[in-house]
Amino acid sequence: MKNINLNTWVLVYDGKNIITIVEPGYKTTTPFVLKEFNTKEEMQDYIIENNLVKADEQI
Amino acid sequence: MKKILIFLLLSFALYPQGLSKFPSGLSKWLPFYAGSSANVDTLAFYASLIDTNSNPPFRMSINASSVTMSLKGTGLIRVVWGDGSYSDSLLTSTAKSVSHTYSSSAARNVVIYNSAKITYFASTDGANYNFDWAQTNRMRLTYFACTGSNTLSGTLTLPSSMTFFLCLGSNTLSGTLTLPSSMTTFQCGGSNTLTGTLTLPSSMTYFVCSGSNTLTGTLTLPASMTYFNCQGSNTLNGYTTQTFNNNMNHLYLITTSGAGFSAAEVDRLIIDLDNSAWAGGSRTLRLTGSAIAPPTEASAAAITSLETKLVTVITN
Repeated sequence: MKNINLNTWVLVYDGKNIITIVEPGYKTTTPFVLKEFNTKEEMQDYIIENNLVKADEQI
Repeated sequence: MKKILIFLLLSFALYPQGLSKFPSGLSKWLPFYAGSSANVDTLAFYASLIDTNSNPPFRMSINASSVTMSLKGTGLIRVVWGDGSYSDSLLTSTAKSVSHTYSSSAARNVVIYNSAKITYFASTDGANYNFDWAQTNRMRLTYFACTGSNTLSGTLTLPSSMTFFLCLGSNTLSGTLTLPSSMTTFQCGGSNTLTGTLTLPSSMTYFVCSGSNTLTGTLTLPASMTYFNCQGSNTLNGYTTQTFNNNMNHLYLITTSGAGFSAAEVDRLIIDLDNSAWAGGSRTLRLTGSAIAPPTEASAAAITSLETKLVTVITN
């Protein structure tokens, strides 16, 4: 379990599918992989490089 | 007399179904059809093309190299594709794929004649549909789904018979959101500006509304609902307590203005949601926005419990 509250972009994924994306400033608890980025662009690059799949239309 | 006999023999040879019920008024331009039920339906279809005042066609612009629509309905329609070609389709209660491939990708005006026969419209091909929602009253829709980079505009008025509405893209729909009593699914993406008091029908299972909406009301979900996502400038506020569906999958609420939700209300909501078993992938609970208080220690155990149910929890 991970619980953060930082000024970073947070990507939550289960190894392949993206569970959700959290903007800076919010508290997140999740049983899944949680990776932080300083900018949205860094996060988007990571998603492309690792071929992660959007599991939800709302992400 | 000899000429008449030859004519009749040729006619029966070409149209063995018979010659009855042929409407004489259409004989100047219609093909010479016989009187089987299918052809009577065909004749009614052609007649509807003439009477476009009482049965106006559905017009839209599509920007794509190919289009595929899945349609259901109660009779014949004609789709004029905007490149000089058209397709006729007999719609039934079984979904029929109506498709067309263009020579190139470009914006074209597409017209559907006899659109009142359409009850089900679905397109997931990513073609960019552009039309005023008001025109959909020319159909008899119970189901509408359209994904892609659409630009639907106008006032969103949902027919009382509608059960399913899904439209993604850069839509700019406006108006007071009134959900028909039989609706089960509503999803509207884009820069919409929907207003009104959010009242969710008892049969509803799925609700997603994004954009700059200004929906109001207290938060109460129907017992059947498993997916709720409300964003925008909504002023939803207040929560008492309720039992949530045991297959809850997604509750995503961002509220940035209005009275919002107190810490006690947020705690109560989280605890109530933990009483559901939750189900499905990407389980998410999000309660954020400046008008929603952070949870307190009162709901800490519930949040931990939700994590064991594979729920990602996001709060202020």
